[in-house]
Formats: sequence, structure tokens, C-alpha cells
Amino acid sequence: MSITSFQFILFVIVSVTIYRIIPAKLQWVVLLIASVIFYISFSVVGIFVLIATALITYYFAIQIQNQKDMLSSWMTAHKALATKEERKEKKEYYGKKQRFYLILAIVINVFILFLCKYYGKLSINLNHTFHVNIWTAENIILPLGISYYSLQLIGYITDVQRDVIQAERNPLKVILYGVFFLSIMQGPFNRYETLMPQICRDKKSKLDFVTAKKAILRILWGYVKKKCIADQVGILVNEVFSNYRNYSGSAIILATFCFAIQLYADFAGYMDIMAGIGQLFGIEIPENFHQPFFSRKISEFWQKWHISLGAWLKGYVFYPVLKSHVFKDFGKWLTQTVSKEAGRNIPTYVGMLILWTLIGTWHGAGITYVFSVGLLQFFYIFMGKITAPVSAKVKAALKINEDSLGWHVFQSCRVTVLMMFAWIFFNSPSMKDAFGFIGRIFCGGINVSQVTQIFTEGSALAGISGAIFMFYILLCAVILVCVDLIHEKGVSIRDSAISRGYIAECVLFFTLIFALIVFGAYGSQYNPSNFIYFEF
Amino acid sequence: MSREEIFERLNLVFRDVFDDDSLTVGESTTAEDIDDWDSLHHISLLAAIEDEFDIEFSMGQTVKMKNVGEMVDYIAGEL
Amino acid sequence: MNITKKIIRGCLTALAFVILFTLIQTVLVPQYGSDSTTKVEGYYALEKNSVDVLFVGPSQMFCTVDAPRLYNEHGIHAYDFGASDQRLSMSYYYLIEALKTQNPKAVFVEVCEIFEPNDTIDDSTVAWNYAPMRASTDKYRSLLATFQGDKKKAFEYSYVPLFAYHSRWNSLRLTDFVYYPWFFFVYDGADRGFTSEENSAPQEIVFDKTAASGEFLQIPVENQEALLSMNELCKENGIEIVYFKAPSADWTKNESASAKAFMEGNGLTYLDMNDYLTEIGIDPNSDFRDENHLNSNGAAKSTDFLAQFIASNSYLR
Repeated sequence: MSITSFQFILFVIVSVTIYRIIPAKLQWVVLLIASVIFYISFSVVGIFVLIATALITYYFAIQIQNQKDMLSSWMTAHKALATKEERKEKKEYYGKKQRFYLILAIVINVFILFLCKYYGKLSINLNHTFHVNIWTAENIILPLGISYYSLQLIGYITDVQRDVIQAERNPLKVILYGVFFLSIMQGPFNRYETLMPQICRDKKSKLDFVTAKKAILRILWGYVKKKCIADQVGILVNEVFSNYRNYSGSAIILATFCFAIQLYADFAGYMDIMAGIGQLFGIEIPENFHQPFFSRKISEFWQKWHISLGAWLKGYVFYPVLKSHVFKDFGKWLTQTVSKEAGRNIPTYVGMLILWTLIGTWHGAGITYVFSVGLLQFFYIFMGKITAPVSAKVKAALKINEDSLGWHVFQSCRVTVLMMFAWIFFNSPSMKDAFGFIGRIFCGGINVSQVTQIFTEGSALAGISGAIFMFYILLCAVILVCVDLIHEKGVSIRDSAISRGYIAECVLFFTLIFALIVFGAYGSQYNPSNFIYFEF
Repeated sequence: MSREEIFERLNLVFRDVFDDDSLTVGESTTAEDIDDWDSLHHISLLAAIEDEFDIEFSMGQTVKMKNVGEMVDYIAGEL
Repeated sequence: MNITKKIIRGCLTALAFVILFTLIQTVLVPQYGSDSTTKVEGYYALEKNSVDVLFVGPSQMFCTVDAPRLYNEHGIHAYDFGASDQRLSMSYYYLIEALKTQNPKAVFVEVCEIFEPNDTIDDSTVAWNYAPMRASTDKYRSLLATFQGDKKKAFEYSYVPLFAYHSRWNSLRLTDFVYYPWFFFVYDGADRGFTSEENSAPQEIVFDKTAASGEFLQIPVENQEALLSMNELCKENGIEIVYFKAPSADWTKNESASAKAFMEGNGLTYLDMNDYLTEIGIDPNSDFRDENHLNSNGAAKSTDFLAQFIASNSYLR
């Protein structure tokens, strides 16, 4: 059930209605059933894998909790009598058992994820390189959302082990946590402690008319971003990326720019739709974007883009790795043998390298992913830090005011260009294709007059498709930037429209609805081949 | 150890980690108030604090602490 | 705000939505000046029951039949009610629509598309033929057949064509904004649906002289049905119906023979003008605008011939 289909909209309306009628204590059941139905509409086999994984995690979490309960009951019983050593010993004993279950659960989750997502490609590559013939797991299909729910479940059991939450006694609720339909496809990553209390409540939350309007406006805006912006520029992107050998440098640059628009509009649009639906259920899901393109540095960009992924990795991978004894000892050894700075910085950078490799790998099985949103990002951040003292001197020499708007704009543009470059690799089927794509900029020729010609000769009244489409792309970029600017100032367009009265509300609703009707990428009249003629 | 003493020693650690002798932290200082206090430095900061006070922050504490005041609470609790 | 006010406000909002929807739809639904929009609008603008002879069909019809000349020279009130690339099943729909406002004594249907199956209908043909026509259940039924049973598509194109043509936003022309009968133009139907072209074709027009093979070409089922249905409809209404083939250079002897066989076999009145080229006086060097279509010279001659044909058959008693 695609989220842009009528069935999905009907599904949401029905689910929300039932959810709002049912008594509070059973609302989570409605969400569970709805989520399972949503999942099954994509894959029947996958749901069994998900349920199995969730149940295994549930079981081990219970075991961990049991160990904790045994420890605390021992502590209470022997509080007065036991010595410090005895207490420490008992802590370690139960701690070891907890860690055992935790590691086992993590290993199982990661193994299933690895088997479904990475093993196939890896085995094919091994076969190719070493001329062997190991099983390539051809029959295994990638269960929907496994990259999300596996990590969410790992987060859950880790939080149990860290005493952040108590283990859930009801296995169905753990399954719900895994299969929750608002997060299963593209995230965001939830934390058990923030999500589940919103779903499993004792008292009903009321849905007032104003909240409903805001939610629907958010959903509409999400659909506009997806259907009117992402899917439209996606046509140009797909065409140029697939046939880059036929296009000149200017087309390549345009397509790269458009891919950034497409990726942002699609991903953020999806988030808006899910967040809006969440609001209708009275559930707040984590934000994933905070105007990322206004970041001054790449490291800042990744704190504002796909925020929940960064937060998950930071809490469950980065910190544990850096806090581990291995790393601490490594740091101490460096401090002694090299310098205090080395002792502090090098383990951090090694940790970062591991982190980014994982981020890249998480995005997909393939060197293009590991490179584009992994190693290359590490390189960007690393170079940024290494050259910091030099660039500080340069900035001082040029008397650049770092707080000025101009400098901020420059930095944002720089970040955007760096990300656009990285995303070329992200969107190419192979590294070779990516280099070929980039190469076209130099051999394809940048025909500036051709580009300006499109803008001057074409106009709405002459009816030249290419020119209007170019204007449209520009308009989309401008709209995205403007909306982000408004959000950066802390203003919510939805809220201000509603507060300004009925007519303002209607204007906003009508604008979004008609934008969807007219500019949405749908319908039989919609012929992607119209754009193959691009004469860049 | 009193809170003032903890704060004094914390100040030294902060100045050392962020290489800024003018730095002074208070109850409500957060990562946003100090340049460079990002995820990378957070860990080295915590490691330095752990070394200074000979304590160990749990993972739960590491991700949860919101400002220096809370940090001091944790430290005081461990001592 | 009390309930009554809320209801009124809601209704006004709904009304505003409908008006906006219609306006945007008006701009985005394609208008075709010489291919169909003016012909259809002109037909609706006619005085009721004022047409004696109705001509239906594709461009070969409305380039051949000089309807104003039929009146000016021969006193026959006629109209070229057609659209480019019109298929026979669409001609049937046009006929049904036509009879809602007129009661001609005779109907002439051009059959150059007789061998074209409906699966070669593309978006432009659909737009030319259906876009200017008014929404009705007949339109829906015809579209349903054209779209091979796709109900959603047929509904969209009939009643809410904004959804069908919304992608035209990136190829809008000035005419889309101003060329609309209600606001700026009143089609008085003065050209009676006739499309006139002064110039002759630059290339030489060569008639296909390949002899008939003896084997008849297959007429697609949907076309056979349309021909028989139109015949039925006219008989029911006491209207004479004549199927005809306009003069064209690419009409082969095979096609001619096959068409004749079908017509005779089903008792349908058929006039193949390609058999009477000398009587009409067609000159390939000066009477064609391209291989398939006559220019104004050719049209004048053909029209005179048709007028004679109508007179000699007493269709207008």
C-alpha cells in the first residue's frame, strides 16, 4: 500500500476513527492491528521475520530484567550484612548475565539484518573476486523496514539493560514497537521510553478540531513535497543519471542540484505525512529535519539531517565504543607514547571513522553507500577539523566576520555543494557510473549560453515545456528555502494561518490542495518520456 | 566534596579539554553555550571528567545529561 | 459562531472551491482552435434544429466539406461536426450528441479511419475529440469504450477533466488563458466547422494505383459496431445516413474494395469519392494541402459534387 494511494488514505481515516472511538486501554491494539495490516500489504513473509525478531528480543529483555530483579532483591535482602566486595561481586555476576543476553539479542538482530540485507551482495562479490561458489542467498528478500526495526529493537533491549526502562511484559507491545507503521518504512527511529507511553495510555487524549486541522495541513504539505516537488524533479534526475553519457556538463550539474531537492523533498515530505498522521493519533514522533541546508559545517548538517539516525548511532554505537575499555586504554597508551592531544583526538577520530563506516553501510549494501554517506563524510569532517587552525588564520587575514549573514550564506552553500557531490555517488548504481557522471562535467562541456537560452527563449506563453520545467524546479527550490527560512525563525506557517482566521486557513488549504491537483506527478497524461528530448 | 569544589575542578577540566582558559561553567551551561562542545568533544569531556573524579558514568547518564548542573548531580552521587 | 452561520460559511467555502476548480480546469483542459474546439462550440452555438445536413468525421471530413459554401452556393444548411483523427466509435458519440440539439435530414460520416483499431488511439486523439465536448453519460460511455473499460479514467475525462489534463501546466499557451468561449469569444459558428487551407502541397501528390489484391482487409470489430449503430440510430430517427470517403491520395484500391464489400454486405449507403475524381475535377497539383487532405480548391469542387449528390438523391425533401 503506497502512501500516495487512495487505499492508504482510506486506511488512515478508518484507523484514526476506530482509534478515537475505542477506549484508551485498547488503543494500542488498534495501532498494532493497523500496523500489521499495513506491513502485510507489502510482504506477508516479512511480517513473520519481524514478529520472530521482536519476540526473541522481547524474551531476552525479560531475561535481563529478571537478572536485574534478582540482583535488587538480593541487595535488599543482604543490604546490611554484605561487604562492599560481596556487593561488587554480585553486581558483576548479574551484570555479566545481563550483558550475555544483551549481546545475544544484538547478535541475532544484526545477523538477521546482515543475512537479509548484506549477505547477498557480499557473497556475489566474493564469488566474483575469488572465483568460488558460495551460496548467495538469492531467495531471501529484504523484509520491509528491517534496517529500522532491527535497530529500534536493539535500542529497546539496550535501554532495558541500561536501566532506562523496564522490560515490557506484554510481547504484543514489543511487536507493536517494531512494526509501528508510522516508522517502519523510513523511520524516524523512536525510543521505547518516548514512544510507548504515548501509545499505551490510561486516559484518552482528545483530538480537538484545531489540532486535526494542523495535522491535516502538515500531511498535505508532506504530499505536496513528495508529489509536486520530489516526484517532478525526480523525472529529470532519473533521466540524466541513467543516461549521463548523452548529457552535457550543465545538465549534469542541474541533475545533481535536482537530486538534492528530490532527496530532501521526498524524505522530509514523508516525515511530514507521518508526523501529521501521528498527530491525528495523538502521538508525537521525533523530528528528522531541522533546516539542514542552513548548516555551517558538515558535522552540523548531520545533526539536522536524519536526526533520529544520528541520535540512535550516537547513543547506541558511538558512545559505547568510545567509552569502552579498548578505546580508553588506546587513548591512554597514545597519551603516554605520543602526546596528550593525540591521546584525546586519535581515539575520537578512529571512533568517528567506525561510526561513519557504519552509517554508510546502514544506508545500503554497496560501496557507493559506504563511500558517499560514510567515508566521504568522515573525510569532510576530518579535513574540517584538521584545517581549522589554518582556516582561522586565513579568515583573520581576510578580516572575515564569521557572524555575518554573508559568511553564513557562504558556509551553507559550501555544505550544500559538498553534500550534492556526495549524493552523486549515493544515486549512482556503481562507483564507475558515479565517476563517469562527474566526468561529463569536464568532457561534456559546460555550455553556458545553452543554459541561459533555455531561460530566455522559453516562457509560459510560448509553451516550451523545457523552459517552464526549469522555472518550476527553481520555484521548488525557492519554496523549500523560504519555508525552511520561516521555520528557522521559529514560525510555523500552519499555526499562523490558523490563528489569522478562517480565510487564511482556507487560503492555505486551497493552495496545498490545488498544488497537489495541478502539479502532482500522477495520472495517465503524465508521460516521463516528455523529458527525454532535453537538449542540453 | 561540596558542589563549589566540584564546580572548581570541573572548570579546570573544561578549560583543559576546550583549550580555553577563560571558560567558566555554571548550573545551566549546556553544549550550546560552548563552541566545539559537540558529540566528539562530549565523549572526551566525559572521559576527562571520569579521570578527574575517578568515577564512571553509565551509558544512561552519558546520553541523558542536559546541562552542567545535572553533570554535577551525577558526580556528587557517585562520590 | 452559531450552527447556521457555520453551515453557510461551509457552503460558501465549498462554492469557492468549485469555482476555483472550474476556473483552473478551464485553463488546463486543452483548447484546439482549428482541430475541434471551435467546431464543437460553434455547433452548440447554432440555432436549434437549423441544420439540414450534418457531416461527422475526422479531418478528412472537415477539410473536404466546405459547409459555408453549401449554404452560399446551394442553399443547404450544413455543419462539419468533427475532430482530428476521429474514430468511428467517436463519430457515433458525436452523432448522439449532435442529435440532442439538431434534427438534420441527412447525416454524412467520413470513414477514412475504418481500418484503424481502437488500440491505436493516443492521448492527442482523446484530447482532440473529447476535451471540447460537454460532460454527459454519453461522453462517459464513449470514453469507457475508448479506454477499454477503465472506469476511473473514463470518469475523470468526462466529469473532472482537470485530473486528466493537469500535467498541461508545463505546456500552457496564451490561447489556454484567453481562448475560451464564455469569457472572450462567442463562437457564432460562422465557419460551420470547415477548415480552409489556401495553399497547395509543396510535394507532388501521387495517387496509390496498386491494384486490389482480391483479399478483403479486416475491419476491426469496434468499427463495424459503430457503423451499424450509427445506421440504427439514424433509421430510428428517420434520418438518411450516408457513409463516404473523401478524396485522398493514400486510399488504396484494396481499402476501397474492402470498405465497399462491408457496406454493401450490410445494406449501408456508401459513396467513395475516390471513384469520381474526374467528375469532381480533382487536380493533384492544385487541390491538395497534403497527401490526405484537400485545400480550399479541392474542397470547393468536392462540396459542389456533394451538393449535387444530395440533390439527386432528394435527401432534403
